[in-house]
Amino acid sequence: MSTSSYVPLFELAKGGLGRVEVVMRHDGSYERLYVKKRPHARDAQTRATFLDEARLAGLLRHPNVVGVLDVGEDDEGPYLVMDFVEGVHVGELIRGLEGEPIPLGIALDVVRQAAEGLHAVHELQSLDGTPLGVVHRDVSPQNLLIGFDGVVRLTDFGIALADRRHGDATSIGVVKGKVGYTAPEQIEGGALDRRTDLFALGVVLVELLTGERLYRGTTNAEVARRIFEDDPPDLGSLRRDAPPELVELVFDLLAKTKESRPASAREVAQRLRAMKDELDEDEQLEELMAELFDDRRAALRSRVREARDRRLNDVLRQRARSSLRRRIARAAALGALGLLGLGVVIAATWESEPKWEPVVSTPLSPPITTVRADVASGEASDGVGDDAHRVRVGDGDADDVGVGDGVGDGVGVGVGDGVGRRDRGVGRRDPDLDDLTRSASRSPGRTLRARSKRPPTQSSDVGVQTHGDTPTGSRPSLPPTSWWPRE
Amino acid sequence: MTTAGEAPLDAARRGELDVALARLATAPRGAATDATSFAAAALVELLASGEVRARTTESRGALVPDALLASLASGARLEGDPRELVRGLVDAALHAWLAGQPTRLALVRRASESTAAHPIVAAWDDLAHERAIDVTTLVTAAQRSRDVPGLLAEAEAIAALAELNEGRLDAARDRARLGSRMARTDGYLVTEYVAHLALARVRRFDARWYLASRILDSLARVTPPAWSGWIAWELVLVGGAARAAGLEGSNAWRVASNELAATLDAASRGDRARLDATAELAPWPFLAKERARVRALVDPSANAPPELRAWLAGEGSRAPHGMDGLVGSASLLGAGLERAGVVVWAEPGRAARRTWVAGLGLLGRDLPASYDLQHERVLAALVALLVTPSMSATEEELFRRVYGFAYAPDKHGGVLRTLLYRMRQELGTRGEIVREDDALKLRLVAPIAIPDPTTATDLRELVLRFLAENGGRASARDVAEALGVPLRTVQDALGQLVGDESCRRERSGRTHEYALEDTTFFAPTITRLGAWRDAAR
Repeated sequence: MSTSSYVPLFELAKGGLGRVEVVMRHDGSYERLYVKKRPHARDAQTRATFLDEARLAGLLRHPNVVGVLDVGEDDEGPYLVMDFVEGVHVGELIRGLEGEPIPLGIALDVVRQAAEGLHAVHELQSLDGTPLGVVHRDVSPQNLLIGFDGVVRLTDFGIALADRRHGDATSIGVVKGKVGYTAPEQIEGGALDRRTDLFALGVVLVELLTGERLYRGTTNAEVARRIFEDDPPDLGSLRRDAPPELVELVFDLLAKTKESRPASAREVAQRLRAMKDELDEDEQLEELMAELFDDRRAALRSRVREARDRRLNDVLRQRARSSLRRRIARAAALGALGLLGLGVVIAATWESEPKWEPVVSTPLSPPITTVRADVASGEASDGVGDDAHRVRVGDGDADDVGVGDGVGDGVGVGVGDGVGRRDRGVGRRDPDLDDLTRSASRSPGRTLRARSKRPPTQSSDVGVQTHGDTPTGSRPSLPPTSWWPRE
Repeated sequence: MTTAGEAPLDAARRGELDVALARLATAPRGAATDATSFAAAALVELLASGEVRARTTESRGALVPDALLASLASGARLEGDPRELVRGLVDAALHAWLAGQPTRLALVRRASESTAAHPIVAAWDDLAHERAIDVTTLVTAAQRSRDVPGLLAEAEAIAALAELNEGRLDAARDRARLGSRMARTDGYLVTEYVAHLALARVRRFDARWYLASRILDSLARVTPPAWSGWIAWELVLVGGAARAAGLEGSNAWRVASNELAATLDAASRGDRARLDATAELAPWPFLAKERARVRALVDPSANAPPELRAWLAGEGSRAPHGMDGLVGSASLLGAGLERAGVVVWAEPGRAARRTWVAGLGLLGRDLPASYDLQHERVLAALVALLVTPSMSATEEELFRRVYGFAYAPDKHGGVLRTLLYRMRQELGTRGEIVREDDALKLRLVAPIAIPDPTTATDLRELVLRFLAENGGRASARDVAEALGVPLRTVQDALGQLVGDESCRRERSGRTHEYALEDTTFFAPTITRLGAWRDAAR
């Protein structure tokens, strides 16, 4: 996969260590959003650590883990490409509640899903089946993304520790992670294992249920001291609705020694599930997300859509200029045919130059994943068949698009919902002309029109980025539709 | 028909029942039986007519004269429609029950012996005196008289009350619900009042006192004053003494209800003299037990009835025997402040005992201040130690009682140490907690009253109570504001209540309202159940 496949849309987050941008990938009729993460530093150590993260995360396929789909390097250095999660991180969810207590069942569900993802991380194996013994080391509200689909995903493996991982990130004795979520053994620089992450998960659980940071202090040293000295909180004193099983779980997760904690994240998930099953609550995480973040979601989609349309325009303009240059060159080559003939050719070229007019219409959700162009091959006789007289932007699928703005470990990670149950690729819909027609009727204003004097003779699905390079002959014919060039 | 009988009949037809009866009494000896029979038949006829019904704002059962009942009891036979006779006798028995008139109830029982009314009338009498009732026989007998309006529904209501007296709550609930539904379809007002009231009483014992509260409020608006005694009694026991005070009526049951409310009031005011002066009245023996339970709840110096002893000693959390509504009425919850409806009272050298928080004044104590949730563990731990035999427990025992799971020193040691420190702070100079033979022992040096958080009313019940007492429906925001609880917490509670079908969510304009769900009882309309008012006019 080449980096040029990803069209940058906008920067999602920027931190001290790196940045994250939303990108879009085109491949034929396929179009989808991702996020691309890069480190600022380009030294060998950073590069190695970064690529280590990519390698680790790339091995993971779990609904509760943000998938790393691609890794590579370009002029700006190494990067990795991840799913694009439309949602927020847990810290934002807490802030969004504005001091109101989160419904108990929803909190249990969030942490249960996180525990499921965490267990997948802990159980990670190499391709030959060797357990990697991964410890995430940075479980925190910012690294737990909640999609608007109600799915929680663990992200940011920047400092994850694998038994065989090399370099600074793996060194015992080096403290990594956000100090308020680090287990005592992590602060001490002692040996870590999966139970280290469970301590952090316990801190997140308490923070989610109480709306407040558990271990606070004016300095990291003070926070660390409290982690060592403070008794685990009695959740029953903080939430009236906390059942004894939950109070006990918090005590277990926040035990000072990892030997006293639950043996695995799966066990934690199972205990949380059992508690949730005992509740009669009918409120769902998905509903709460919609209630709290609908405006934000709409704004984000609008931003994605605008950025995408802008990029689309850029690409089309570029293509148009390129086409013009080719025509002029062709005309010059034909100069020997005489002044009159030359004039005719130039005039014809200028007249057929597309004039792109982006037309903004009512926002559609979700943003586009389909781009189609009707190709008029008016110059087929002379072999020029790549003029896109009119390009229509179809509406995509809501579940494919969105942005999270998590900034993990200084590197903002916005992630999208790619892997998943709601992942409906465009390509599957594109061949369906009826769908296409329906899309057109729903979003007439989002048509990018090109003017041409000549009527089209052929139409086809074309990826915006590539349609100019696609041989006309290989495109399937489409019957005439409403996207003919405006006369 | 004799001449001697015509005069009473004429008087009866004029509505002058007393005159009719007087003339019956002075009728020539030889004609007495016929005359009595005739007059009785006439009365039954009149009772069945709208004329007599319109003349009374009470149960028509009150109109059946004692003399008639006496003559029936002595073997007189009545002519006329037997269904009306049965209905009239059952109404007479019901009225005696409502008015708390044991002598008259016994008389009606004797008068009904040779009639189809007898199983029902006898059941009312047996119920009042806590005698065993064969509910199957009762219902079967009522089924044989199903052509008498409302009789079967009334039999089910009595059966429900009988099952309740026997402690068979599930059976009581089933019968009460059935009776209430049947009565609604029968459309016989008196039976409908009975069946709904029986349902309210069963709901109160079934820990759904908020539903009882709603039923009682509904009935209080539509029933004649004769019913106010029973309704007031039930209202007081769901914590609605203030609402009971506004009801009309003055029969024996009503007087007993007033005394019951006065007991609570005297305890709340800490007025020992007035408390002792309140009459230990109960309209019926089976209610005397309830009266005794209330007294034991509010007065730590009162004898504890056997069925209440375990709870008073600290076992369990819910107030038993239909008193959780009363206990809940003293609970506070909201804005981070809690107050349990019950405190544990202990003195040096005496076992601790639970008592109603409002009765603390009797002990010369102020009501304990509200406590915040963080303080609740400390109070719960002190209560756990106070109610333990000899006020002593191992760390493991204490921890388990407070937290509900096993103690692990490596994980919970610090938490327990902090808890003990706070318990000692709370005790102050009133006592100390010492280690004695591997156990923690509480030594009191002064009387102490500790709120018992384990008895605090659940938020969901408070929400339901608010709905019940405010027309049965409200928005989440209204509830949150009234209870002083965060909106999301209330929404959470309402969500759970919708989930367990205690509430239903209905759209009201742009918002949602939550309505109390009672699949059995529907609030009656005044135009229907209060039809007696129009008749009275």
